[in-house]
Amino acid sequence: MAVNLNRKRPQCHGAADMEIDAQRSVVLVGSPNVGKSVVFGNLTGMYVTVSNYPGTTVEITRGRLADDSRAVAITDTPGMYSLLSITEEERVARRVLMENRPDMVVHVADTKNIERMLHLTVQLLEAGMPLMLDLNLMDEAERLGLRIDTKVLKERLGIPVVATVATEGRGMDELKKMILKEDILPSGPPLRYPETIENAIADIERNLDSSYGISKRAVALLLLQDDHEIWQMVRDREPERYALVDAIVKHARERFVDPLSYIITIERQRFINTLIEDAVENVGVKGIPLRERLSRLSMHPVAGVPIFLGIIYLLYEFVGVFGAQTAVDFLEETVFGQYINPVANRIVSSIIPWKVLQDLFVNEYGIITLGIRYAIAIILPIVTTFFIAFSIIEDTGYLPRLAMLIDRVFKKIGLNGRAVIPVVLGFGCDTMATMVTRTLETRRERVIATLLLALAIPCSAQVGVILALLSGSTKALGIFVMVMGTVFLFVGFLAARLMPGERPLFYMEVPPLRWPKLSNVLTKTYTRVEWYFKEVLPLFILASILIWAGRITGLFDIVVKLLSYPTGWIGLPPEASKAFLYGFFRRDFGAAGLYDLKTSGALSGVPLVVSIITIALFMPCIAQFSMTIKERGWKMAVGMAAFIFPFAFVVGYLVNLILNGLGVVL
Amino acid sequence: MKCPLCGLEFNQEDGLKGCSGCKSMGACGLIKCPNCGYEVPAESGIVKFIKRWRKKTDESK
Repeated sequence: MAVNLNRKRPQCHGAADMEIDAQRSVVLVGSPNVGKSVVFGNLTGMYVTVSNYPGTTVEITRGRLADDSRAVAITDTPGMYSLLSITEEERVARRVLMENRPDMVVHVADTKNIERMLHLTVQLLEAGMPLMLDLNLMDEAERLGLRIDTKVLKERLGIPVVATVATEGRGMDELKKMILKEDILPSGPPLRYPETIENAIADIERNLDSSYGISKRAVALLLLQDDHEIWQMVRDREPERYALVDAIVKHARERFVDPLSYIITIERQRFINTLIEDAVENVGVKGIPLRERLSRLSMHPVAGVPIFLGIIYLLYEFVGVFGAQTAVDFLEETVFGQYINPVANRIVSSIIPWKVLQDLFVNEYGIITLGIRYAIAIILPIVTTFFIAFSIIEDTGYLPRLAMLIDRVFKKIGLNGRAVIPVVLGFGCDTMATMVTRTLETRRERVIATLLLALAIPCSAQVGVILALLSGSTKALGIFVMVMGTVFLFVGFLAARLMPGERPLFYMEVPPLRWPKLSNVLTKTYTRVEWYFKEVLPLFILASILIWAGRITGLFDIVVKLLSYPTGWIGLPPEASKAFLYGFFRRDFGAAGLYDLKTSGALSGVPLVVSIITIALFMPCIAQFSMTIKERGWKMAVGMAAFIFPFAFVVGYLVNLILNGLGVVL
Repeated sequence: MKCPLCGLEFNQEDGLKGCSGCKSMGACGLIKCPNCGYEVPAESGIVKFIKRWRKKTDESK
């Protein structure tokens, strides 16, 4: 039963202005989607006040709960995952806790995800809050076969724990009674960190004189985790001690290879693991919902692999066969081949008398007949189908499961499942993915991920064109996937051996599997295609202009001639060297060049597969190269390029040798 | 908006804060999840317009 709130619309005054006649104050906190608002509605009834937190657009809701003896003002805060704030909502929720000094804080948690919920419980205890834990959505946890021993939780955490199903009103009477009657005292920190961190906490605590509304231990932990807002607060309130606190934090940081926020999170996770072991039992149920069963299977080290391969196959059928054959054929041969190109050639020839200038716009390498044709007739249908498929995969919640699945494999190559983010993004755009490598925990991981992105992860448009080139031959596709997978793992493995270091742990929240919404998929696809074209079209046009200028000066022919040697060594026709030159501008531009060669009949069979493998491994495009310089520095970027250029041709040469030696016919 | 990878709910403005230090300074049109770094393109102007128009139509009914 959802509760209707008779909301007074937001007024522009702060939470402090809203006086509610009450003897005590209670604040509800919790992550988004845990049923916090339903709990609040059940507690306070129909009449609530909604206002914007001062200086923000974030809403704070207040209401009143009363019985014959006592009245309580209840504040519902915006969703917060952690006291270490990332979003504006989290900052506001934290400020409410720090400024209001509530008599009680009720942490509303989603019981079925109790493991990740307890992180906030631990932080609130460390903050010295008079805390009560509300295990909401208990019915959903029970359906999944989870049995929670609330007594163990009570004893180990030292706080009252109540189980509720707010939508059905279950447990709400007990919760109301506790809010009205219980007087809770802060129970203190539930765990201790490694000695170095504990010493730093104690040193910082000694140097904090002001009051922060949360315990000094919590302030110290937030400083160690580099919370910018807390740093600013300390700078303002302790101007004389600030430098000393800064030195303590720096000293602690130097003692660890990994960031302190990472160390602290892992210690909390260890504590939570022992707690879960004692307090939570998974009895299993006969009827585990299909969704949950699928979720578990998709992360299973054995069952997860065929699921992943099945998804790749569907992607190939949709993008490679439908998008890249049916749609590209129509746009390429009918729309451009029969209408746009002949008309453009005619119009430009009649307007511009000089052949040199005509070539800028039309004929073999013109802006319209090459740049725009590549962008609209080849890339557009491919990226559109790819983005539709990607949006569906994204909306189902499969990506975090894929991260968990590949965590084991990634560990062998010096990475962990967190690296799935840049790797998956790399299949969209390697340039952006290179920037995202900065989110990885250690330098070693960042370097390995950057190298693998530059070498073995083709971008979305390139994947699309490659699928198009290989469509019709599952054997050729199989060889391509096998070679790329082997190169990825082999180079990653070698890099991990050359750069020894810690193998980082990986922890990621896995949201529930869900059906994708059509409107959402279409919106995302449109947004992505629009974004992609804004970026790609000017570059394709620029590439056409550069090729035109290169042809006038003769530079184009010289570079093509030079590139024809390595392409010849790997068994490719001389025309293929043009595609490799295009690949310098953009990876997809190069792949589109191969597509042209295939349709003209100049490239097929084994040489086609060899050229695709070589161009997929080939140099990063200009944009990715400059991003690598920015993220990893000149030396590293040039070093990587110097390795990749010959390596791509060596692999192409070996594949050509092996396939011909085995007499493979494609 | 909700991150399609880690599920974090955040405002678009929070997603733009990750752009500091990047050469493109937000011109790439991508919104970065402040928690995991995953990127999604910012909602297109046309999509925003259609949503506003539909909301207006619904309210006037």
